[in-house]
Amino acid sequence: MGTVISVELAGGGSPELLDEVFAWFHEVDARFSTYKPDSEVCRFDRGELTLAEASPDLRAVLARCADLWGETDGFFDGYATGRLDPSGFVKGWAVQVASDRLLAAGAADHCVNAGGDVRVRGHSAKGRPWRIGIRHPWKSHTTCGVVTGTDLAVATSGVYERGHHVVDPRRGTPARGLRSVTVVGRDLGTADAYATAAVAMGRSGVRWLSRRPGYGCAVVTDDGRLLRSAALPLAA
Amino acid sequence: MRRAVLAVAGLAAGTSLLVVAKGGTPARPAAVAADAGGPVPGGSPTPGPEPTVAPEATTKAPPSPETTARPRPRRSTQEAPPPPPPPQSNTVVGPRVENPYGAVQVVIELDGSRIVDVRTLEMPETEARSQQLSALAEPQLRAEALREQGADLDTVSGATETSESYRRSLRAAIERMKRGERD
Repeated sequence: MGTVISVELAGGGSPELLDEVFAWFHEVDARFSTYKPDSEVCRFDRGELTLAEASPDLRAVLARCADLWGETDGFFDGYATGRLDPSGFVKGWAVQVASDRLLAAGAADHCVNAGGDVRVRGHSAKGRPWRIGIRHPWKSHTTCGVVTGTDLAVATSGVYERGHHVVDPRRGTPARGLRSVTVVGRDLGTADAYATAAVAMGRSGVRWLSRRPGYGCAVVTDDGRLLRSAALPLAA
Repeated sequence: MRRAVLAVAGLAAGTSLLVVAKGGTPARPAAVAADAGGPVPGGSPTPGPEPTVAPEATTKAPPSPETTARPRPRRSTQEAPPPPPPPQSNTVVGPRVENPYGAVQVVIELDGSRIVDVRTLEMPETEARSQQLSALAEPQLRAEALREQGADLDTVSGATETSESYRRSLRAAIERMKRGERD
């Protein structure tokens, strides 16, 4: 995945539980990395593996990516780079699975952050709902908003360092218009894919996002405006 | 509270995957780093030379730990060289990596040999153009000028950590850490 993952258990849990969570991320990396020629994703992409031979995880990811391709009118595209690369969904999905497992294991209060994609449940060690900042796209040491809650998935897709690197899959050119898109809901894989799709859509992504039931958003445009939906659980 | 960080500093050539975990320590590791790096207590009328982690980032860096380069007051005793000092720092600073939009530099914080936090010292800061507010409003959403806000955060959502320069700085910091280097 090429990122940094942090896991914070605010109450309960054990070192063994953390080990299990990180073993899961290792497994995801080995299976879904597009950098590793022997990963299952790469083998499937080269046709060395049929869908029937694929692992349940890969089949589930491919099925969800196909759904999201339809739901986003093709703007979320696991083949946008010309080869299979479901990374725009996998990172959020892997964190969501980790969070679900933590909850099932009794760690009701936790925060998992994988490269800026965040899933929180319960309360922080301070005994209050988690507070998640949204990174300011131009002043990266600061944030431009705060969402808070006890059961939130927060995904941000942005183009603020490498320039416009999200490709509009229809035009094949870099997407423009939106500098940073944060999507907040319950499922992090979906939020991650929505955020990526909206950046690819450009300005029209704002209207599209505002129609996603169950998901709120905060969008920063290229000209420095912050747009947010009423459903966004902003901190006071 | 248990907190752990997994750094997957993967690059196309030579992926390195590192799991680091910390369990059962009640205090936040950042506090340990700050304590270890506090100023030398009393006695001297003028503060010693401030070791800087990175010149451009001094305002954002935590108090820097004392380094072996600092002049020692008791140098005159020649006999019995003191035992090698234990590592006086639990931070490792990665290199400043430039990109067309700014620069990135990460710091990893350690508890023993385990990474417990990854922070950034310097990140791209292009000029916000909020003064160019367009009159166009998207009717579906509330629009407002972008401004800095957010305090007392538990975590941050943002895409920066996936950037290439972030990974390069992080990977170099991890390699330095594995060689036993500390800042």
